[in-house]
Amino acid sequence: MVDKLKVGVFKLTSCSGCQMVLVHLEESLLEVLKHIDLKYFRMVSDDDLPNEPLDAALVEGAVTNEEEAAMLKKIRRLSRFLVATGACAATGGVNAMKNITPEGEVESIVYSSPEYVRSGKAFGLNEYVKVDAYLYGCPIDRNELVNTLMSLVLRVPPYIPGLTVCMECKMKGNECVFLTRREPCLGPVTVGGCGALCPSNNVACEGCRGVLKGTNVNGLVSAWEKAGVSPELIRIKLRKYTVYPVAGR
Amino acid sequence: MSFIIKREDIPHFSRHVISKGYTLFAPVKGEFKHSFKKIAENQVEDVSLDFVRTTMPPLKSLLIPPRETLLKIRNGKVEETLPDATSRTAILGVHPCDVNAMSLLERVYMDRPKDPYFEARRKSLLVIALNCKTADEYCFCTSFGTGPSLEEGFDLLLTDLGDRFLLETGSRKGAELISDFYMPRATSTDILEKDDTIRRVKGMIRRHVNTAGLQRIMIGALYNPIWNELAGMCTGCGACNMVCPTCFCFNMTDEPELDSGGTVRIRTWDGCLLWEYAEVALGGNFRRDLSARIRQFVNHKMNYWLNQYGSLGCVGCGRCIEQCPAGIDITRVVARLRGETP
Repeated sequence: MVDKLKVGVFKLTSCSGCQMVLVHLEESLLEVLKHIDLKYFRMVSDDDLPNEPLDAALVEGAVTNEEEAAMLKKIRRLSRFLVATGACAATGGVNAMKNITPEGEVESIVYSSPEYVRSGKAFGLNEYVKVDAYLYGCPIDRNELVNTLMSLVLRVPPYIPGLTVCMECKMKGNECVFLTRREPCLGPVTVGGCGALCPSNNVACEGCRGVLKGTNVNGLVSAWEKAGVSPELIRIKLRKYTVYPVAGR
Repeated sequence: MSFIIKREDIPHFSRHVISKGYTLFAPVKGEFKHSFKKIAENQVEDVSLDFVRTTMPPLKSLLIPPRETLLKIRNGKVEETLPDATSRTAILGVHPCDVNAMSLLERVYMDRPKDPYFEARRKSLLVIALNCKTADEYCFCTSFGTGPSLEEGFDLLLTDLGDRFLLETGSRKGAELISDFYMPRATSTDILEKDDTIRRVKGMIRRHVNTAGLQRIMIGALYNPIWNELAGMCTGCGACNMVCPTCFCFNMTDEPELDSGGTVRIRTWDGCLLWEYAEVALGGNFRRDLSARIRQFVNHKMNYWLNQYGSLGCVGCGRCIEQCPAGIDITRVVARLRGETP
């Protein structure tokens, strides 16, 4: 038997939904805990940031201010393997919507007392530190989380297949929401692994798992335009989960 | 031997197939399109044979499931999880293009080395094919001789004659299935009516691929600017790979199995439109550009298959055209490369 994996679970700017996936593993959680030693997990215990080395860090959330950047760098120094956990950690996620509006505008819409908010632009972890692996999605997928943790326990690099949501949707034999209803679906350019959850429930893909390397977002946007999708709807689709930097628009 | 089944007897026939111990798959009408579904005995009324093309390539997914467990590794022992060879599956209402696509997959998976998973499923599969009674704007099977009618490759074959179906047997397995299902014999008028139907469908097919000397033309076009042009439109989604009934590539991954502490080896469908497909160790990639990946897809069907398996790798089902979000049309690509269309 290999040694238990020393793991820390950390949170920057995010909703904690991805950490909740770990909590909600339920029966699998007990199996996972046989192999990992949770050294830091704020959601379940009040300990301070650890000072001892970790085998792996799961970091949820976007970096939105200096304190978070400093905390992330400390986590990086402590950890042999760093996993960007969820859409916010991967690309900035929903938080990054505000990156293309004047500072304070989004905060004044969302919060009643925006003067208490201390955050600037939102970025994914790889803007500040080296990221060893990604768990995509909003929230992350529980099977991918277990596979990633168990791969790390076995000391092999985690692997998330590089296929698209569109392919998984076709594997299921779903009718295409774009071709049949002209709804702008981001499935063709989005990292698969969710089992095409949204389109399988008749909802166009929002792209929460990020843009898959090698796909062509601008080709997809042209197809939407040709199908008569409004510029406003296209703007909203590309902004929600930070697809716009890839599209260059 | 040829028989006649009345149209209203199709549910009764479906129930007969199930009663013979087969798991039955047949087309069911969805909101927009038909797709193949597993039919339970109380669902036989849902079977609907009025369709041009089903959403999914049905035969491919029955023979190579999109995701399947190949083996389990537990306590250092490898255990193959082969499909149950005694199980019996029947698929009702498969069009000629898809039956021919299955024959092409047999060349891939049942030649040396044989794929035991595919072989077990193929051997337990009974094919009740259905000649086409209509065609739409995406069909081009006549270019490859893979439709709209079938001469071989089926156990039973249906032809829609309006108020009734002509049923022909193509194998002993097929003949056995209907040996105790009462049907009147077909007459020469029925056979003539079948020929008329097929002639009429052939006349409905508007799309074509000119295959004469195609391989030489494709090789000559490897550096044609069209591939870059297509890369501007293509989303790189790989939907064409998934819906193509002859695309056979797969990926394999090992996944930890929590409760046993072992590992399972999983096979999933893969596609040449993906970046990762031609990626090798240390990040090298033989097809970095999307243009190279589209070129591979088109050339594999229209060129490389010939050397690999002795025929072209397209059956003209039209799914890749119909399902492409960017509207890329493989018949038009070939026509442009041949200089037949601007």
